[in-house]
Amino acid sequence: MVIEKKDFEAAPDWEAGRSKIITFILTEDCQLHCKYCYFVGKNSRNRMSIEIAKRTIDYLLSEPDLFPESSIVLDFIGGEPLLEIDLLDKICDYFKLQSYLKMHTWFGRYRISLSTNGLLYSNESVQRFIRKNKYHLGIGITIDGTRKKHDLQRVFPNGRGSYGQVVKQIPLWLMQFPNSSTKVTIAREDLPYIKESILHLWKLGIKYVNSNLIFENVWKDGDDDILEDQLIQLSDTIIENQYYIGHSCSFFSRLIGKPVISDVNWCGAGKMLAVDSTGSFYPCVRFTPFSLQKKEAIVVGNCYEGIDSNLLRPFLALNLQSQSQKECLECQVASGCAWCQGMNYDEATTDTIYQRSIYLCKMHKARVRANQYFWNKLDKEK
Amino acid sequence: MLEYILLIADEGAVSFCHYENEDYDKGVSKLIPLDKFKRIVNYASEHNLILNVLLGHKNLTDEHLRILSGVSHIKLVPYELSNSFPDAVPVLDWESSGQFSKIREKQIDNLIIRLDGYPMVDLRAIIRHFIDFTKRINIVLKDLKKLTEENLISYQYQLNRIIPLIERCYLDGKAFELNCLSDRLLLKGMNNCNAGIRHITFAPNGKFYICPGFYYSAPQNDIGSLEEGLKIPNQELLQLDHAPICSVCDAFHCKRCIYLNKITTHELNTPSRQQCMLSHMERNASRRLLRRLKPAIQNPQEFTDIPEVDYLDPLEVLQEQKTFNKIKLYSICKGDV
Repeated sequence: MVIEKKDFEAAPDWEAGRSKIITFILTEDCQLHCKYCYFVGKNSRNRMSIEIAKRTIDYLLSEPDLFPESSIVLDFIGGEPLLEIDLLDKICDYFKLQSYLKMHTWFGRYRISLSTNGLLYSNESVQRFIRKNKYHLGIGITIDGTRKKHDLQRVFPNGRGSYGQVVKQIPLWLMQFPNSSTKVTIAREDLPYIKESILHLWKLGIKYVNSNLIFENVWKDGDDDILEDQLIQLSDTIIENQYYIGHSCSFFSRLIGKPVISDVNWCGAGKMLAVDSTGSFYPCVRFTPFSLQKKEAIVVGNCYEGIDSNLLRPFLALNLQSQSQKECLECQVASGCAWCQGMNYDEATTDTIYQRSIYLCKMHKARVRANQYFWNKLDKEK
Repeated sequence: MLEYILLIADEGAVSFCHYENEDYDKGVSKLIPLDKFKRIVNYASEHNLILNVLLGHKNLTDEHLRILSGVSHIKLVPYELSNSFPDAVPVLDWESSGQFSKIREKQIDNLIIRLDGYPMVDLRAIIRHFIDFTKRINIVLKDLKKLTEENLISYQYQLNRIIPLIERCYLDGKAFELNCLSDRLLLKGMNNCNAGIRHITFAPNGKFYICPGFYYSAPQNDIGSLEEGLKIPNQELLQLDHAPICSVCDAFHCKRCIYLNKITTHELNTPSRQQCMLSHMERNASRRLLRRLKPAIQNPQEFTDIPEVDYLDPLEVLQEQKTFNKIKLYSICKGDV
């Protein structure tokens, strides 16, 4: 069987990473208290004002030299961004108007991106916003897999699972955004449910499933065996049922498990910018005070005074070589081994972003073994 | 490998580099306790390390001097103490042109001049003043971290005005070096400050630091003591191969000041834009000097060519390389190459 190039490919990426991504942290509140969430300081106090958002947009539009990208992604997260749908709508309107008035390159070349828990998706105010911004909008609803897997992590403050309420929103979401993907986050307790969860999501109609293991120091001996076993079982089912046609799961890729061939940094921190309710700028949301447990936040500027470009330089200069141990540089299966710059910083011995955590080492190697199994078996099917 | 120790012998010791010492500015003098002084001198002697002793406005006691006399050392002293220590390296904090009248002309091998980059003084006048009775001048801009691109362009203008003076020295066979123009001429690889690698600092509190700047700005961030030994966490970040911007740079004479890196970019291995621009303006001025010298000097092969470049900040080179790598990687992934 010939495996077409279009099979098992990831979801299309708008502008393929060429845009400037600006993340507005609208609120630090969320209806859920997901157990694996890196956002450790949830609260209902810190909500972005429209003035802060407007100042941020004014600043972004007034500095074309600093932001030379030909397009922009207005990324909204929280907390839960749909809790602030009216504010979100006003911010988008302000951007559209100002980019038009300033005849900025970004007028018309923008994308609105939302990551939501989905609970408010069908609300009229949200639906009105979707209708209004349909051609520039991408929404990702997070659903983690089967009810069992989802409810292990994605719970209300009283501990009740949210699966039942989220899954109801999926048909409408897929009707409005048929090529959407979801992001599955896997903590230690979730490992035995990987296979059934990926298959379940495909069955729900979500064709593209991005999955990642949490970066924190939680993995124990033997977890790698469970991961490998799950992925091998998943491989067998995919191949047996030809699910590789019209679906994808980021656990499997022909690009992973090879020696590194590029010195490019894995993470995009610093190339993107996050702004919170105080108007402070961060290299990404993982450097905000509420995302860090051990270290001070890294603020690189604010919407009043702009960016201190010297503070962005370490992020722009980051490469594989400068932050990796010898063991990682010499690793024969290093490609695809992921890291989070914010987590690295939080865990580093000193206040540096140049010390890479390797908590995922064994898990990555297990994934590589399963990945090789998958492609070998699939190629034999040809 | 460790080669020498910077010993802060007085809390009010003169700064010879980019860091500031408020105690020195206030005229405070508090000598290092004798027992600590004795122990670090012994330590240096046992480990074959040279001591660079930093003094303040007042001289050391006879007992300090007696202990010091037994080991290899260099003293760095405020200019006003240079009469007492003819073999020391004097540090002159340049305040204004009015200072010319206060400076006595005397033979000095090696002189450090600290001055502000803004407002930029008449650097050519200063060099002209000292050129006949010094063998080497090190210029240090005190306020580098605050300088704007316009300020740095003024500095570049000053460098261009000094080139003929240095050229004349070479052509006349006079041994004279100016760090910001001469050093790059003979270098074929990075020759930086190397704080934490070639040298460490011992402070009056009995602790070790990466350099005096770290002691004066954050005394809690020591790197050990004589009792505990030395421990520099993430020491690899001091090395060139862990400094991505510096790794693609050929301003070989640049100080790569770790202390300035930390206070301007918050990372030990990342220079500020000001540091990079300054070093490149000096590099390019050295290139202009070399072009003028080459036809006239006897051994032009001693000098390595300094190529023309179209940037002042090597971060741009790094980003171009990254974009290229990204495109290449993307092409490989897509099977296009």
